[in-house]
Amino acid sequence: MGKPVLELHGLTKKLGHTNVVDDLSFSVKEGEIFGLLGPNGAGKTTTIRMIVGLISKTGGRVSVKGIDTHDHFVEAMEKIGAIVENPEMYKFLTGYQNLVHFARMARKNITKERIDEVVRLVELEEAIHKKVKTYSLGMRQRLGVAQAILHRPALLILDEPTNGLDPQGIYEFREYLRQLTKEGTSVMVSSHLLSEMQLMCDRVAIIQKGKLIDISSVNDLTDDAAEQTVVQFNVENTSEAKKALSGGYSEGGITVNEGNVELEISRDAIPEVNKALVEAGVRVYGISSQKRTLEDKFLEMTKAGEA
Amino acid sequence: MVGLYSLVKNENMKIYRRPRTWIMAAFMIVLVIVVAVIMKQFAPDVGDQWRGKVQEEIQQDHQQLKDMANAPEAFTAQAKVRIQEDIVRLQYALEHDISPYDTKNWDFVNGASVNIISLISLFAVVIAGSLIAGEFSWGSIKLLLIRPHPRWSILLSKYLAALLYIVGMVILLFVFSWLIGGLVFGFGGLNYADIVVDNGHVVKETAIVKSLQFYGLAAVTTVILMTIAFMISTIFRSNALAIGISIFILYIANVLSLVLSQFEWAKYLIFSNLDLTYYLDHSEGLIDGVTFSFSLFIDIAYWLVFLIITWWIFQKRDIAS
Repeated sequence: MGKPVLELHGLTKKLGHTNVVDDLSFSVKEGEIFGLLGPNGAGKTTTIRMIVGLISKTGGRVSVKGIDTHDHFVEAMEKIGAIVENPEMYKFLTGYQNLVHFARMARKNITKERIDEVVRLVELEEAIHKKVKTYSLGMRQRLGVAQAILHRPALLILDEPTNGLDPQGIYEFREYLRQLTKEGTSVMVSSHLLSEMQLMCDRVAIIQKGKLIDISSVNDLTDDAAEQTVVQFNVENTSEAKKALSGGYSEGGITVNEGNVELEISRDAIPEVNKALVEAGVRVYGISSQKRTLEDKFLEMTKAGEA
Repeated sequence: MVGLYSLVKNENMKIYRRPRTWIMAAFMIVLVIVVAVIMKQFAPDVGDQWRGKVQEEIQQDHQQLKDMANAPEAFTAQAKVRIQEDIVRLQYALEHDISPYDTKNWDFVNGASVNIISLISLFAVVIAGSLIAGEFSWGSIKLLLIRPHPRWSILLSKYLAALLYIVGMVILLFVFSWLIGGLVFGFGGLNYADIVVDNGHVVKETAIVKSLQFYGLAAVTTVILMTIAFMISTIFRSNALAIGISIFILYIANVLSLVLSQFEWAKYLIFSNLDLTYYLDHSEGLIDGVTFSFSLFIDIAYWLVFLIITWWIFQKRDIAS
């Protein structure tokens, strides 16, 4: 990971009096999967449409591998593959004809072998010579990925790529993406599904009302040892347990909840608390910590943004 | 150029992989066959008796001239000239031993099939309208405009594909009219000519020249109508609207130009100049001072304006749906 593949500088889109996208700056590095996370209407799709030149920018610049997408549109687009919202292909053509269509639009020669290779990658061998109107949503999505990666783009942009996919399809989709990044492609995905992003991305930018709220790596977000989490101790006698812990572990307060005592402590403190309980003669049946998900973080951040 | 070539190939694929394109072409060919067969049914079959029939007609013409002798000159002047020219034509036929009733495929090409050419306008409008509006309604425009091609070249490729479609259909109509006409009426050679009287002199109009002129001029009208459909579908992204307005212009143009011909300013309207084939038989249009070159100039001016509007809108449009 190193050089930026995609860079946004102060990207802004004004519609009427509101900035749908407001002074957005971030960069996507080589070989990473970058998530654009935000509630519906946060400006994710508008951002993507500006990057690929479907809509005009009110302000700011976008560059792909150092090439400005406004000044050198053709050169920049050679390096991008994208699905914007649903991949709407030509239904009256076969999947293969659709791929030939988009292969012809690449500025480099895409061989028949390459098309076949991509078809194998997205596992559409069986249906590729059937008309697209006979395809299921999942198959269309896969064909959409195929047209986006045909020309081996440096950057793959996918807008809500898992919309309409079943869990199996989503799992497979993640696998494709991992495989692609191994080949050196950077991926930018947008989604409003938080858990989805957590499984898929290396880094996530959270945007709300067109503004960038935070960029963090997914590992930072979830595996922070020093961070306070709520830990539940399942014990025989909750009042005894509460008494045993009253001496110093109770900064965040101890709550009793149906045979459980709950404390907000750091991960490091769990063994100590357990030791204190055991030494006080409290029988402990189970310990569980609620891992903070990206969702909690996301909600926390977007709430802060609203305030 | 290589890029543009691939783009046109793609547009062609999207035209010719749709069944309706072939249904329209088949419909046109069937229509040519039906018209040819019907015409054959009603054609006078005089065979070797044609000399007697020609003489009969000459007598009728003379009789008509006599009947007109007493009528006011102002009403009959034009008719008299026409009848006298008809007599010259018939006598020329007798002298040179050419039956004027002998119908060959060229007569069919010049007579009936030229009217079928407006059907091509209709089809071209449908095709051109959906080349743009279709991409919007299918949503595929988003996949099309994120390729390494400037927008104008994608637009141009669609326009070129529509032009190629018109050229192809006009050639198809010409060839099939000639072929089916030949099978039904018999084939005439390349020198086959119509005897026409112009200013009292007998002129031989080579049929192939006349039909090529007609097809060429009619194709200009078709191209302009297609360009209108192209523009409207770009502005409104609606195929129905593009087809509707273009077809409306196609069928209203003649009527409207007739109604408006009393106004001097009407000569600058597209309606008054759309039908260039009119000038094959007339030296002036319906409005005084309107000539073939004037009409052609107005047509080209409108055509350029339509193209510029289309280009400008397409270039600026935010693809946000």
